[in-house]
Amino acid sequence: MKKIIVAGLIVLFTIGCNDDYINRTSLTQIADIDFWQTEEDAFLALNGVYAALQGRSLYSGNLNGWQGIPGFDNLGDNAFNQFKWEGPGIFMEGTMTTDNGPTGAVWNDLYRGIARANLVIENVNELPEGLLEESAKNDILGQALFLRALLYFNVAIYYEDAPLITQLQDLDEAFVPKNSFEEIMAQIKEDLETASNALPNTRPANQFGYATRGAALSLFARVQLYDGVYTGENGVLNLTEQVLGLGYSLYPNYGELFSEAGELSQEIVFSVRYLRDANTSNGEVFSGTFLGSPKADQRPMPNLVNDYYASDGLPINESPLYDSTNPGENRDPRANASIYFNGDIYLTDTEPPRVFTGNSPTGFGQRKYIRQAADSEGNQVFAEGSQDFYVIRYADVLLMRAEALAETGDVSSAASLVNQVRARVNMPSVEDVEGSVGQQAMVQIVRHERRVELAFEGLRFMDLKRWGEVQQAFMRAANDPVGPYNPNYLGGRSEVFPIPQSEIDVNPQLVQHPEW
Amino acid sequence: MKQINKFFVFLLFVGSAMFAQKQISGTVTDSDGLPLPSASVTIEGTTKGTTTDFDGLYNISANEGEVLVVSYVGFLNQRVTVGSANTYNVKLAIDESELDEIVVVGYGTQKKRNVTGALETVKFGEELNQPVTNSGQLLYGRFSGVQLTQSSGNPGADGSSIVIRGIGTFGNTTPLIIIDNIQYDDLQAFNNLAPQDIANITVLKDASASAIYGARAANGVILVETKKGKEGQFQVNYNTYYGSQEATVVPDYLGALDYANLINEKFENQDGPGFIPRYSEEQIEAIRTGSMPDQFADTDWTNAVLQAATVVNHNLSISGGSKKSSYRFSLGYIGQDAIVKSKFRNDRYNMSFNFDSQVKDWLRFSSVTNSFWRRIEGPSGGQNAFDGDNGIIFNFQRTAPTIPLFYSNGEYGFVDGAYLGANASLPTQNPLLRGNFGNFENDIVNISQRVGLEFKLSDKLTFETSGSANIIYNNSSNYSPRIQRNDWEGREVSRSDLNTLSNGTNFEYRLLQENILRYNTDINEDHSISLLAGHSIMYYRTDNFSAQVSGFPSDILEEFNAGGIIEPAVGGGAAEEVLQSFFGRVNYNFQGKYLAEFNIRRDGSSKFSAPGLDNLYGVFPSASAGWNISEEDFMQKVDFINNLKLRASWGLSGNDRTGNYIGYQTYNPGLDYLLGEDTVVSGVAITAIANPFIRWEETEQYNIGLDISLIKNRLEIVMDYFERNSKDILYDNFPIPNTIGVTNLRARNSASMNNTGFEFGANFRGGTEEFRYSLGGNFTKLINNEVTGLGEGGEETISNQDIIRIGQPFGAYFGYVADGIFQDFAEVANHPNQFENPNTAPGDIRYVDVNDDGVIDQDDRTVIGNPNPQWLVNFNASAEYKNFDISFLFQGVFGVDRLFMGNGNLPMPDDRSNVLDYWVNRWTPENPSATLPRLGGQNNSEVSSFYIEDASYLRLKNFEIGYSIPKKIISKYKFSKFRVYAGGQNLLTFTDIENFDPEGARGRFSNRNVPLYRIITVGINAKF
Repeated sequence: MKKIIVAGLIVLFTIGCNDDYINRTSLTQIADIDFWQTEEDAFLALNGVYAALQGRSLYSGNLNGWQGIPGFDNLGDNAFNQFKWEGPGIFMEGTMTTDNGPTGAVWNDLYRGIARANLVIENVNELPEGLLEESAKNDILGQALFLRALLYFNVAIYYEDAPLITQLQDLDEAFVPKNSFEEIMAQIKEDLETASNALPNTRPANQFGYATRGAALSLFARVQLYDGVYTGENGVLNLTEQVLGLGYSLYPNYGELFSEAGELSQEIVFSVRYLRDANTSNGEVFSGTFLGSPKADQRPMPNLVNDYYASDGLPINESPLYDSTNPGENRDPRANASIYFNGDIYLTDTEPPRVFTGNSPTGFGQRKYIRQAADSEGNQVFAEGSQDFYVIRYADVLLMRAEALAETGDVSSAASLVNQVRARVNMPSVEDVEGSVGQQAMVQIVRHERRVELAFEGLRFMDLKRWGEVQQAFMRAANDPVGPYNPNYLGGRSEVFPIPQSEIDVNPQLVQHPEW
Repeated sequence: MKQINKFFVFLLFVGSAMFAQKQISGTVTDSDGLPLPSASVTIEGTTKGTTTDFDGLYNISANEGEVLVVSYVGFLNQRVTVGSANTYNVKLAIDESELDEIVVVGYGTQKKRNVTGALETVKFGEELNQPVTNSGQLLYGRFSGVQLTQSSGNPGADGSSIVIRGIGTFGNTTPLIIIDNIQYDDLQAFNNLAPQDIANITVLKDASASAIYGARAANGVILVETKKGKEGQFQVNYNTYYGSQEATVVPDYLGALDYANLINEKFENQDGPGFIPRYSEEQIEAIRTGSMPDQFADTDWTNAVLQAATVVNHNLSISGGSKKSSYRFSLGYIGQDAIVKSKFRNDRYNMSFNFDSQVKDWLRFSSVTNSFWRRIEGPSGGQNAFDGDNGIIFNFQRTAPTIPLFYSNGEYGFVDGAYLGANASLPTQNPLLRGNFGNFENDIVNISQRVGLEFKLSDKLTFETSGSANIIYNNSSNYSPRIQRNDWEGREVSRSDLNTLSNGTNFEYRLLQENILRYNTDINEDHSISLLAGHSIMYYRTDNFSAQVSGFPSDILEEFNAGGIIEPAVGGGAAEEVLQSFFGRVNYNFQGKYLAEFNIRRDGSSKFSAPGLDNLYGVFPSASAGWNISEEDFMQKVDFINNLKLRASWGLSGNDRTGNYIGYQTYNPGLDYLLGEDTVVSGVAITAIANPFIRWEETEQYNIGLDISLIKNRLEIVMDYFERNSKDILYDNFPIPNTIGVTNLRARNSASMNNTGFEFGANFRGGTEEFRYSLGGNFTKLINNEVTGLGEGGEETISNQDIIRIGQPFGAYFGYVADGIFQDFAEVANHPNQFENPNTAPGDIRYVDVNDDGVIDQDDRTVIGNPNPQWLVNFNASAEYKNFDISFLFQGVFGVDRLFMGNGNLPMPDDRSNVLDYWVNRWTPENPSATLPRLGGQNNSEVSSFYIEDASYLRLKNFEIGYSIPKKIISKYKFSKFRVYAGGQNLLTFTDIENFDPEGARGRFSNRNVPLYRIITVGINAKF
């Protein structure tokens, strides 16, 4: 008996479990070694890049938190970031430090998207022969290049010199120095050229949201405009001309365009898509508002409001239609679509509808994009919403082309494009109001048109920078009678974000901008 | 006077005649003939007694035939029947059973005198009355080298973190917990064990003691044994107490008038001359006069929301046994309300069953069951409604005192009268509503079961096989109803039209199979050898599922099928772990003088799976030696030393407390995007970078110790010096450039640390049969806690307020050095420019230019504090006199810094904060404070030494005074014991910290948690 027991014990001791039993892999995450096996995998990874665009500090924005691109009209003269700690406010006042959270988050979100794009680009190129049809492969590659260019263009605008990473990095490869602004711009252009050749002109309706050739060409035009390249094969003129032939058009109702009704319209060249509903929680926050006052974190500045012409096309200080006691009357309809004046209703689903009392440090409230009632999915005005953010719309393309035409001396062609944009809101033409103008005047007309057409769309700071008008914008903001706001222009430091201190702390190769 | 004297003489005469008493005297000595002073001599069956003097002499009057009982702590009692003689000299023999005290060690027991590792045991008596809501808190004040930190006082979140001998890893520092031979990774099972069921707790500190648990022992090991039945005694024990809890410290914030004035001042300082005041002069007048109580109240949120709360405990046990079997069954209950006014409460039911049977001569069967059911009920959000960055306690700061608790129309106050102003005041969450809003329920059922069979294969060889399972079911439910918040006129302020229910369950189990061979033999009586060899396999799996849906038609029903239709969402996951271990131990001792022990363990863990590499297994050896000097011949003449033992040990132990699957690069599937009208497409991305080289963390530890017993074993002294060197520490906060696209790096084995310390403990027991007392104390000097390396290319990590820097304590506070307050512009101008901020002005904090480069910037940050204590101090005393008993326990921590930036400490940096009331003394031009900056100034909220405070404290952790009702009374009611007592926990605290409890977690914001509480209890211990 005992012997049996002892023998049994010896057996028990000598059988351990083997290593296969000990080796375990994740039950919830797909292991690298099992991925990049099918076409579906490639699209999954591509969708991951699009999802990165929805970051709070990129295109989702915020209502009471760190600001992203929808809040970047707070940089400059269009809007006042009343919650200054959200980023733009302290940037404008010159009290930002290099460890600023909001701008650090912008950096992280941008590079997160870039790395995801790099992942797609690298792996799609290395997929086994025949796994993906050539057209599908080109499409995926083109989209990833477009997205990388979009992200890098934001890097170029807000950080100027920054690391240019175009490949997947191992950790030991990640400690990279800065590249110059010029190197980044060159890469963006190369990517966009490839993308615009690889992407399809149109997509089926159920794929609206994926980048198209029009998106790549239009972004390319924006990049070239930033660099002042108007002519030549890849000049703004040639690029926008191609977009003009792609079937885009202006949405007839300017006010309605900035609601969910306008999302799928012919005017949208590229948007970041949002849906907050039963099936997904991809919500945005930029279109949210407080109940007590419209979008209290971002307030239209008086100098912007005053820049909207009266409905006769004349500046308010020249127009007989303007009534300073009732400044919202007889104005460019875009003013009323973009701005709440004292006495406007801003909440329609309260009982009674809530009227704006001018309880804003600037006296005005933002209306463009901002929800007035719970949306069709039941999302409250202050909760996450489903409003797409328009990165590029056709009116912008027209005005980019108009600017390039004006800059290259074709005043009449420029005017006719401005007229197209004005006609949508029934504003009189250049010829009717400004009459026959010279080139410099035409340039100023286009710049003004951009401001009133594109206010609160996150483009103002880019425009100010390329026009060299950042300092003037600071002056305009400082001269506005806005109580607790002290914009303070500090030279280069007011034109570029600091590289996040945490990145400098971590990466000895990285050097802070001299301005900071 | 004469007459009185006569009367006494008469009484004496009569007395002695009646009882025929005579004077008896004698000497009490030990076996060597040395006198025992203060030995107790009593007459059996009476209350008469005396004690010996310094020379061991006693005098007592007794009758012939009565029995003298002579006793002395540490010696066996002796009974002497009084005969005709008048002198009785008594020699007491040492109670060998005390010397041969058995202590619990890994996978077995050992005689205390043969132990060579550093370990410490505390045994608990039949009743344990300390009102701890978590058994882990029993460690407070009792063990040297063990640091406990409680960070929240909310029921269910009030467990303490445990660190043994300093932080030796960057990750989880929780020691391995072993309760009745079942291993636990976290403290939940320990914390929820009924204190009355615990027989003893042993802390294994050095590598020699803990190395038998190899891969999981680097943080130290805590062994817990529950009570068992005893042979021949059928006993029913019932213990109960009722207690009242109250915050130890309540912070004081500004009242409404001060708040309004100060926040206006803040805006003025911040925004300059064009500032918009938040409160107009009329409004301030209304605050001052209280004329508009709905719009401008004066609410003391802290006192409106904190309350005294009850705690109730019951424990009933039945135990007994025969020669062959023993059993103990117990039931326990504890119910605890929250000190934050709310619907929050915690109820726990315990059941444990211990059974042991010698089935055959060669077979022993044992079964242990420990189980509990814990239920937390509370408002929507559960613990999150109270602690942390969004909780009620943080709202003491975020809520303006001008907002009323309730409006006169009966609704909760949310906004004050300035909320529609141009500089609008911000709405509150109303902490009182938050604590009662919605419903949260969490049930945890935890069953631990072990079954063991022990085969006696020969006199020297035994084999034990056991199987154990720990099964945890965790079910939670969270419901947020619809709500509309109105102002005092009933106007809507905000509303949520969506009600939401989230439910989640988690099923978790850990199976353990262990086989152990033990062999003991003596050779020539001089050599004693014992061997142990074992093998174990552990399998762990967790499965969870969660779901959420909104849009219920009614807020009355709170279940999924009650009609929610909007935003349904589900989630779930699973993980598994496997650990295979081989382990062995050799003990050798020569004549009880020279002791040696070797341990080795080889562990293989699924956590170190990686493609292509083989780091699965780690080997962890240890060795220790002891020299019982007092057993040497030359020591036999040294009478005052009863025991003297020198110990030394070395060993390696491991730590595998890291995330799973770190070795594999994985894609996170939790992403999606929108296409077309409403087509949602899935996305994936790499959100963390894998580390295919993942392996064990390793701690090498040296220990030298000395055990001394003096004064007839009444005084015991234990000293240990240790050095722990940890390497291959998983550095999961490894700094990576975020340009790589992820901000999360899987841990790498790169860092190293050193912990050095000295522990000293002493215990003295004394007294007589009637009056017994004991005094004990220990201290630990943590000489060094230092990061010694970060690995090849490793950079120091600065995360908000702390730094991991070579040569500094782990997580040292890192920031600017504050050097007073600027008093005038000349001073500002002459000082290095701070943060290139043109608005720096008088009243702002002046920072030191640490690197002397003429500007104050990021590079001037330096180590400004140490969150790890330098000294741990405990002492305790207990005494019994007749039927009374008293005991107390002090616990303290010294040389520890805390950073207070979370709750009213900052000078109003944002648009809504209230501040603690000392801010009325802030800097203003009229009150040029030298200690407090101005409000709304520039850069005054940076992490700096301004916010560092010395959080040393000494605390009366536990106090108890009891009275046992005399036996002759209670025996009528069949009780064998009936004791009433009153006691308390955290009754007194000595500290320099104001407004908050000095004890708390590291970090900037740890004062956002629910305050710790003191408890006052009354209770009963009854035995049948």
